[in-house]
Amino acid sequence: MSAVVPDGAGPDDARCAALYAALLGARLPTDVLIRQWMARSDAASLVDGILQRLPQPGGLESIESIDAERHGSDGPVRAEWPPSLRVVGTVRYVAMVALALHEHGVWRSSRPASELAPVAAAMLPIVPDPWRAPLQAVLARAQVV
Amino acid sequence: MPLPISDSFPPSARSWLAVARDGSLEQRRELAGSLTAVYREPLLRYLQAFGARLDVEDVVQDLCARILDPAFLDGWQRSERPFRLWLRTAARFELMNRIRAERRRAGAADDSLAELVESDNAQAAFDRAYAGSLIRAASDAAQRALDAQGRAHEWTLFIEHSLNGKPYAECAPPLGIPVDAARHATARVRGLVLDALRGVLSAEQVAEADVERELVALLSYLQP
Repeated sequence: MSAVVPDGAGPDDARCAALYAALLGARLPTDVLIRQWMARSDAASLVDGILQRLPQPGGLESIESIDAERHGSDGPVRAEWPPSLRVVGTVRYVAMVALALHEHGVWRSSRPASELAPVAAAMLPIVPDPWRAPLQAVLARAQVV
Repeated sequence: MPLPISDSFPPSARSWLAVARDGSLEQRRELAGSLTAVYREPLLRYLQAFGARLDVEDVVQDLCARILDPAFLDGWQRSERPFRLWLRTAARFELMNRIRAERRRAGAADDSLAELVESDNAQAAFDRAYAGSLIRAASDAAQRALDAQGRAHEWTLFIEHSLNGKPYAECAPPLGIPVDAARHATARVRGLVLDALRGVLSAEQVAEADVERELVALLSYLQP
């Protein structure tokens, strides 16, 4: 997870940032929440767990079924959800973007790259090999098209 | 007239000035200690970023000793600048004065001090340390207030739920807090921390309507 920990920033900075985030609660922009949350020690294991539940490239579950989940009434990223769920939802979303890029080479999204990039950067060191190229593509694109 | 210092310390900037002018020795000492807790570390980080071969701790120590000097505070009030920027400028001038004095003692010409141009790094170091010091001071104040009310377990609940992400059903019962009451307890703690922050933010010229925006800015100082 070192990719998302700033140079010169220690665990105390992360805790202070978490306190500000707690004061702001759900009013905090999602990308700020994600950067904050990714500094936590348990972030890697949670991302890993999320990846385990997602279909692997070439697997049986289609991207359409994941997309249906995203757009359903319980879609993964909703502003009114508690911050922790918004973070989890966005991690899942980045994984979906990576999968779509891997399988189809294209993904249409209005989500800003600034929101997706930190999660993709955090996932890179821990994902299986087939995920790396699409995640790097997420990082490389100023706009995910 | 007595000038009480509340548990939601540091109090407002108006109270600072009253304590500085008319407060008892104990009140002045307490206020100076609280302000120093917020501003000492950022000033140190700021001066260290200049890389001067001087004891910057000594510079900051002297500045903190003057932090409640009425003339010093009057100068700040007239400047209409945020307190931290006023302090930062004072620290930089003090550092320059000491370097000049050092050069005079060494017989060097007192020419350009171009190396003391304020860099982005110095400002960033100051902002990051300020954001950290401020939230630590506010958290300490909130914990002291909760301790005094016999509600220390509510701070633990706040940390477990809001920082560690545990659901109330998991973290409230072991603390003796009914799940139904947990949300109110967390909101109370959040209010105490915000009250403590407001005292300093008022001196930083942050209007009440802008507090939320300021908190986002403070958080950004701690981000990559």
